[in-house]
Formats: sequence, C-alpha cells, structure tokens
Amino acid sequence: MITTNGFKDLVVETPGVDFRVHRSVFTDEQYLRRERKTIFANSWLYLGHASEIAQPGDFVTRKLLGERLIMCRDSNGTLRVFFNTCRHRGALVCRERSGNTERFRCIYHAWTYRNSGELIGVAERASFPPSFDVEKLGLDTPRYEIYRDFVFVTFNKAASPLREFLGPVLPYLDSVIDQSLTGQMEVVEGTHFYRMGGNWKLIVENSLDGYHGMAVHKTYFAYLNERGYNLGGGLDGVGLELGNGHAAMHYYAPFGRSVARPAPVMSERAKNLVDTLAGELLEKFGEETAELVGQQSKNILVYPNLLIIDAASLQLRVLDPIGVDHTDVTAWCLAPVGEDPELRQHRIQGYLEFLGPGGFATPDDNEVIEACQEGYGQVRGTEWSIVSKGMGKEVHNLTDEEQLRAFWRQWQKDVAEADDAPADGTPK
Amino acid sequence: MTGTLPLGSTHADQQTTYEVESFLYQEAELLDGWRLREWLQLLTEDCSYLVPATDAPHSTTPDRTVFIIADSRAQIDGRVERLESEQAFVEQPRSRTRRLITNVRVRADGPAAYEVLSNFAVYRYRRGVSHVFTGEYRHLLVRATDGGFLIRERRATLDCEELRPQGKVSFIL
Repeated sequence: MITTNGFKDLVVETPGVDFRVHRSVFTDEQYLRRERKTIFANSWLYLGHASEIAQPGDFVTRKLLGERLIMCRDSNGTLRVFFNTCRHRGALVCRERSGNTERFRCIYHAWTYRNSGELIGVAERASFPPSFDVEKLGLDTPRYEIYRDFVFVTFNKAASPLREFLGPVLPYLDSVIDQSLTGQMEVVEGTHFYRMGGNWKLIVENSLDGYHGMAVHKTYFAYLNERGYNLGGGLDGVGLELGNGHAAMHYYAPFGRSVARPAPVMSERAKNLVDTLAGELLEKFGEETAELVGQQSKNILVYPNLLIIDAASLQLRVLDPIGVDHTDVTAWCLAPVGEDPELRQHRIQGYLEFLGPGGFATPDDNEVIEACQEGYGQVRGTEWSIVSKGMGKEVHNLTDEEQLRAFWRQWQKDVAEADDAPADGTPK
Repeated sequence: MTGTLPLGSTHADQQTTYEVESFLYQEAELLDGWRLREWLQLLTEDCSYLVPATDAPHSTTPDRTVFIIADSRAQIDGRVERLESEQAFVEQPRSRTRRLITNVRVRADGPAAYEVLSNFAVYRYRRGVSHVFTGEYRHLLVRATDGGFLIRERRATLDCEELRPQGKVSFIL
C-alpha cells in the first residue's frame, strides 16, 4: 500500500541515478487540496492577453482555479482585473463570456459598477446604516501584473513581483513575443475549450515530453511526410530546467514556421516572406537569438500551469484542475499583429493540424493522459513512476526527461515546504 | 443556430428533399459504420470539412479564425488515412457512434446545387464513457453525373459552449 511520508518524499531523486514520482499525487484528493493552497494560491497565474480587450469597455470573463474573474479595459483605456462578484451578496456582476460595456450591473439587487470598478448605483441607498460607504465598495481586485501584454494574477498579496517570479523563463517568453518585429502580438479569434480525463500534472508532463513524439504522433508525422516535409532529421534539441519550476525544450523540427522557417506547403511568395523575416530577425537580434525566435521550436512551461507551444504554430495553453482526475484546458493561438494574411493562414493551418480537440495529434495525447490516469487506479499496484531518462548526462536531449524533473523538483518543494502554513487552510 | 434559409430562396420540391434526406442518412450510415473510404467517395475534389470553434460558431473565415477543424480535401484525406491507421490511438479501439439527423431543410441553389441544413445528435461511447454532440449540419451538395449527390462543403456547428465534457472531436463529426 501507499508508503509516502505526508507531503514529503512524493518525488524522490538520487542525483544522477534515480528519479521517481509517487503515483498518488495524480489520484489522491489531498494533494489537489494541497496544491491549491501551496502552489495555485501563491504563484502568478496567466489570465489572458491584453489584445483580447483592445478597445475601451472590452471585457472577458474567466474561470481560474475556482475563482471567477473579469479582465477588462475601462473607459479610460486602463486594463483592470476584478473578482466577478457583487460586494453586496455575491452574485456574478457579469455573466457574459466577452463583450463591451461601460458598467457591470448585478442582477440580484441592481448594484451597478463602473468598468473601472467603482460602485455607482445602489437601489434604496438611504436605507443602509450610516457606516455604509459606497466609496469603499468597489469591485475587489486580485493582484495583477502585466508582462508585454501577458496578464497574470496572484491570490497571494505577499507574492514577489511578477518579473522576479518569471525571471528564469523570461528569455523564452521574449523569444515567443519577439516573433513580432514590433513586439505586438495578438490572440487570434477562436478559442479551444476542452477537457482531459487526467490530473493536470499529467498534461504538464506530456506538454514537455519529447520522448513520446514519435511513439504517439506517428500518424501526424506520416501526414507531414505525405505533404512533402522532410522528416529525416527527426527532432533535435535540448530540454532545460530554468528555475522557479519553469522549464523548456527547444529544438529543430520539420515544421515550417510562419515566423521564419519555410515549409514545403508554402507558396513561393510565402517562402520569400519568411526568408525576409528571418533576415530581419537576424539584423535585430543577432544570430543566436534570431535562431531561437525564428528557427527553433519551443515547448515552454511557465510554472505552474501555462504552457506555450511554439512549434508548427504558436499556442498558449492554460490548465485548470477541476478535480484530481479532470482538467479543463483553454488554448489560444497567438500571432504577430499585422501578420501577412498568407502567413497567418499557414499559422492557423499548422495549429489545427497538430493542436486542439480536432487536431491530428492532441487527441492522441488526450488518450495517453487518460490511459495513465486509468492505469494508476487507486495506486494499489505499481506505486512509482520513473522520470529518470537522461539522468547523469551533461547535456539533456529533448527526448530526455530533465525538463519534467524541473517541474517535479519545484512541485515537491512547494507542497512540502508549506508544512508551516496555517492549519485553517489560508495560504502561507 | 447557424443558418436560416434566406427569404425568397427556392425550397426544393418534395422529390428532391426526399433524395437529399436519403443521402444524409446514407452518409450517416457510412460514418457510424466507420466506412470512411466509402465516405470519401461522397466528397468533391475541392470539398472542405469545417467544425467552428465554440466561441466563434458563425465564422466563415478559417484563414483568419481558429476553428476546431478546417480541412481542405487534402486534409480530409489525411484525416481518414490517420483514422484508418492502427496508431490513431484516440480511436483505436474505435468509439461507437450513432447519429440522428432531423429537421432537414433543403434550398435549391440553381438546378444542380443545394444548401442543406439539418439538426444532428451524435452519441459517442468509448471505454465506459458516453458523450453527446448536438448541433447543425450545413451541407453544400452538387448533383453528380450519375444523378446522386456529392458534398462540396460540410460544416458541423456544435451547440455546446465548450467541448466540456466531450474533450475532443476525434471521429468525423
């Protein structure tokens, strides 16, 4: 039976020799409760992209880790984030997914808030006692910070600043945003909302796992082969632990990239355009960075639950654990503002061929994740998963598991360290 | 949800409507029976197969909007090739599906082309889990030389706001 030691020793590493993860971390509700308290309540979490609310009054509503949030641009153009709950008795003040409004009105007693959060309308206001102060009853706001249009929130008022948290992953985040020569990126219309029947950490692993590519996605690569791609070189690259739980792999893949890498299915015009882009990136950033931005594919984990898949296309993927064995995935395609229409089409085509609930690859990943979750059962059988591939090597190939270990090391640290958290369940 | 037949459009006659309905049922039989290579025979060489994103169900611009599926004919062929392989793990073993098609509306678009709207419910069963997909089909059909129909565009617009709990569209919807 289960032989773990509270919240310690769930991830066991013998440097250079062995790395194991206890499978109960995927199946036991106590670990999800623990993660909510020690990881999700303390980390900076990706909420959305500023381009989604480009105009004054634009808003989107999001569900994240059990919280309902509004991200909007107020009438003066300032980006705001609010808890989507009336200060009176708590009903949602906005029940739409997205739109444009000057005010949010609660349907229960018609309390009304400006899109900058101030409470501006209370029915029968004179009936409240003298202490009732409208000035202090604006919509509550979580801490939020913005890095190059990426909006993050944290539910820990004492968390270190966003830039400090992101620090080690910033060069990779920049390498994605710098696909745009102006630095302006935008979310493309059309969102993938789907669900996987597995623990969220299985999706983190799978999204960083270069080892499974040829085994699971044979049919996808066969399709590319049909379409004239040269698959001879396979995938060549490295997996990296970046720090603070962030991880990445970057590699050369047969995909074309709208940013700077021609593909056989592109027209001559499109090939010329990407070659020109490659030249411009080289001039702007120098060889090494231009190579990373333009030529290399990247899978990036922004700890704990944002994955950026910058491969045949560019995807932002957010994981929201809705139970120990189910995860809601929301995914957006990101692209440079002003991208040439033909390159945009190529970007979207590359996106749909691999990614999303109707792609040629992601559904098989879904199957793998569900097969793992089901295989664990209640962990009465095999207790430990093996995550040791590539241990002891100086340079870790992307088909090694070092980038998975990066995640697991931080995860273990976070769930174990919070043993001094208050017993009432509030975050440390 | 997606389509209304424009006022003043020509509703097809009873005989044509009957033929179109029979064609839709025949297509459903091939898909539910996983007779995908036979299904391909129903498509024109320039056929497209579209499943819009659930938050952009009305989009007609797959070149600048992310769909769930936006296949050209080459991609439809690739999709079938993949599903016929033993390594499309999400459909190996294959799911059982059953589609019900109702509310068929046929509009003649000239003497040899038809816009067909219909409602669908597709039930999918696999490894102890069942899901239902409801929505509206829009078929653009053309008369083939043998008097039957070919599909020039096939659009399946889902009613659900999110693919939750369904998770994926791994078969031909």
